[in-house]
Amino acid sequence: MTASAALLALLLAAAGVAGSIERRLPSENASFTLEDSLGRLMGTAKEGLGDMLFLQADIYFHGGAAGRYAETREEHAKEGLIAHAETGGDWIQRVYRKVHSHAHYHLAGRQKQELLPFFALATRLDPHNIEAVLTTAYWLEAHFGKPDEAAGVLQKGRRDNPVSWEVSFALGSLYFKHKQDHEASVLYFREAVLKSEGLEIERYHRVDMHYFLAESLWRLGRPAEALPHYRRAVSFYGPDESPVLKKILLGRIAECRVAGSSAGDVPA
Amino acid sequence: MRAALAIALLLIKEIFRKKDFYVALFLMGVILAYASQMKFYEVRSVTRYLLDLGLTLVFFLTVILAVSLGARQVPSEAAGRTLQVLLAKPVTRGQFLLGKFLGTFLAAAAAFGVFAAVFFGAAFAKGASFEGVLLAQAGFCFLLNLAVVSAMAVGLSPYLTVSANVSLTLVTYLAINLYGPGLKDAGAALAPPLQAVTWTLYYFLPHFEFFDLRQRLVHRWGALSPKLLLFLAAYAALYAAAFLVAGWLGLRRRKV
Repeated sequence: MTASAALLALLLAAAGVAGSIERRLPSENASFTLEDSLGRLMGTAKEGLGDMLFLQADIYFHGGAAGRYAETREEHAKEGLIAHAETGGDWIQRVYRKVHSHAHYHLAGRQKQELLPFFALATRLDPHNIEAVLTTAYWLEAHFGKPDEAAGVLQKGRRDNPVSWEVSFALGSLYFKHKQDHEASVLYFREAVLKSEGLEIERYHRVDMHYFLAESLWRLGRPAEALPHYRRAVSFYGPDESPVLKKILLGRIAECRVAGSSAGDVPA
Repeated sequence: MRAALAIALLLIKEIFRKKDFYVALFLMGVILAYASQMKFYEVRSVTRYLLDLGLTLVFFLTVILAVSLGARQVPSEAAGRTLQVLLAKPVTRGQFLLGKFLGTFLAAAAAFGVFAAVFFGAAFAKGASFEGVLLAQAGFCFLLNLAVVSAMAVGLSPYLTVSANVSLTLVTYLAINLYGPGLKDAGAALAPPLQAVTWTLYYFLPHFEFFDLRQRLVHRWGALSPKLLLFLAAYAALYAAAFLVAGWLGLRRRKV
């Protein structure tokens, strides 16, 4: 950490100086961004630095201690102190652990905002790290109640990664669940469906894409357009698979048919 | 001891006469000022990144100053022909080296005090707070670290040129800080001769990472036990003494 933090410090200083010079340049289109300056200074190495900062966010989430063992699902969901102690090793490793190890810990409450600098810098320095973009948006929306900022991160992620279905899907979900803007969610879910065609992705992602696209269309009062997507979502399940989910989907299909036939869009 | 202290006092003045200290101070000020005004999604009171960065700068810049000062001592005295003059007086080679070590350590500690004051200014302005006991322990452990680094640079100075000494000491310092705790496990996967080299480095080089309490301070982990602090002080004293004895042996063989 010593060397990487020193390197980061020097780069930040250089970026700051470059930025202030750039702001003073007589250019009509001059618009300074951190990534512009660092990009000029470091080339693509800035992406490596961005990825390193993204990993640093995980270390911060664990209260500054790098995880050395696999957490259980229950432990991961916990906040605050989690009982866990490392043992073994020679005297050097034991002294090191006494100084540098800490009981397993997750940042709780407002402490979580300490992750934000790392997310912000990681997504700026490596805009093509889709995992970083999605994670940053998730934390902003789910933990800090900032859906507008989350949407901003995802919109930028969509521009930087035009072939990523994941970013489009995350945008669709954000507009569907938090902003209740179904026109927008239809646009992004459709985009996700198109971008993911021909790709090998988990089946449940395809189910979700078609289901939420159908739900968005249904809520906009367009049952005829929703119907094929509900049907597509059902088609991913085998005859004996997930009866509860299938029942929900089949119920929606029936509702679409009724609504569509009364409107004259869909044959009953 | 009086002779050693007189030599040490000269060195304390030297560090504030050199440009290096002011360049480091300016660089740190610019970086901290820039980093402290950064905003992240309009969320206020985010401070840990600044503490991490600031402490890293304070520690690293102090170590660089200590190494560059310590490494200069014997070669520059020899080049300026002042070594003969000094040793012609009733000053033994041991006193000379001890004075150089004390001077390097105290001068670097004074620079550390100034850097720390600038850092605390930036941290408090951003709304950061510290736990008093932990802060004192972090400072104490860093001074132990500084004592070992200073002794290493001064101890190697009878054997190496300034640039070779600075490079070797800083590379060792950084490498041990980064890879020290994992050296043994890394060595286990190597062929026997390389394994022996790795394990020798692991057991014989000072583990500078023992003295780094930044994580504890930034993330408020709680204080170290007095027993562990005593152990760290003894560990630092042992290594500082070993480097100084090695330096004294080198200086004793040197013809003046």
